[in-house]
Amino acid sequence: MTITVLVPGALAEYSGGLRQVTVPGGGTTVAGVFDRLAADLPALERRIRDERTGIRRHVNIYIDGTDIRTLSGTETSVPDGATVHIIAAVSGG
Amino acid sequence: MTDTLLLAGTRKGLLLARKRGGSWHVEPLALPMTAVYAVAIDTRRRTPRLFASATSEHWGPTILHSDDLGASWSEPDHAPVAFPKDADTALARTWQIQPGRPSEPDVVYAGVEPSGLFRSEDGGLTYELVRPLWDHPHRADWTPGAGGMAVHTILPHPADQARMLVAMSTGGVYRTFDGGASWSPANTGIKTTFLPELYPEYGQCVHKAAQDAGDGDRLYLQNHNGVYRSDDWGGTWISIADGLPAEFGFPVVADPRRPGHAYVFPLVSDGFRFAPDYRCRVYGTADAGKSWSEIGGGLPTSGFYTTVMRDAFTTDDADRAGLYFGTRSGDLYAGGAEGWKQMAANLPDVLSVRAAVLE
Repeated sequence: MTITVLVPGALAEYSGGLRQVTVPGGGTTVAGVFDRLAADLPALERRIRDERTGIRRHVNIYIDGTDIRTLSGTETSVPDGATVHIIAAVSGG
Repeated sequence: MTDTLLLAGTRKGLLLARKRGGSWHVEPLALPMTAVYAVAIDTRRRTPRLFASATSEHWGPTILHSDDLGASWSEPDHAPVAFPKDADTALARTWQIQPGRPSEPDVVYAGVEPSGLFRSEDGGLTYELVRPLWDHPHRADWTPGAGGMAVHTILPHPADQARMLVAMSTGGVYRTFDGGASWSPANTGIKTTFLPELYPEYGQCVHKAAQDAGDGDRLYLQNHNGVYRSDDWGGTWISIADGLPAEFGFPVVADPRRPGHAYVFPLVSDGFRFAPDYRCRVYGTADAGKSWSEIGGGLPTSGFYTTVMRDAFTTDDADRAGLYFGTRSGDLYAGGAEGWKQMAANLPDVLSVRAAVLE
């Protein structure tokens, strides 16, 4: 089974133009999803996490529609078949 | 006739301009929606390599480079600058990109926030943390100013490969005599007006320093209150603010060809950050700070309520160097003693400017 990651348009240049990529599932967490993403698409992953593997401040991550901040953050379990949605927060000027 | 290339990093993108046949052509904004705090033109290559430090509010910092004079920009898949895990911090942005000496053509330095120095040995594509400065026992006492806490000035000694000097806000000036293995503060004579001690060993809010063209040990420095010169490569600093309308400001630049020539953009004070009389004026010295005079005409003479940031003022490297600066209100000027002309207007705030003559 796999996990689907939805890529915002602003980052599609780092995923070969794809707006949707998959990573292997099998009992992982949000951190694990991005570790797996980093192995294949490091230029994409570093836009989402800093070098301490923290999610960047103005990036929101949803698991099947729920903000991970309301769950267990990057330690939230991600079941096989789930969708991880990366969305730019409202910020800037 | 030679061409001149200019890069202007702004709060929301990068502007590239080229002077051909005496007139400037300004290209459309590149790298939109990124804050370009640092730009550099590495003229040690046949085709100069351009650099831009670009930080997205959402997607974080990176350094891009161009080997086709800005027609396209590239970056490695992995972060060019990243703190190692045990540093327990993350890069906020790169504030300075400094090509190394001609004798080490693949060495490039990066000054970053939080205050750190990185070194590249592959022409500026990937960088590694200079550990001894990061591990300096003073680091716990360095504090952020309004703009952040960063190494913003990197000055490799022009003749001595073992020597390098950096400046940070706050923290002040530090230098190494052994190729970066050890660092010591070099702030003797530079005052602070925001600490109980007027002349501490370190902790100064140095805004920018510049290297004199003729004397490798002569430096100029714009402090948070104070303009200084050192004739012993930072061993001691003496005030050269007499003759200026004010001693506060952010940039200081030195003419790369003419010894003793340096330029500043004075503001009234830290508590009143406007040009004196709200007039836009560049001041220059031709005698290493013994005297100062207003440089050129053609700048706004009233109602000038904006400022020039520490890296938004530069020279090119022509025999008779041109001067360039950008403002926080998005105007870009080129000129010098013969007068100034507005190159561009209505830009996002200008953060960084560099220019070079193309052979």
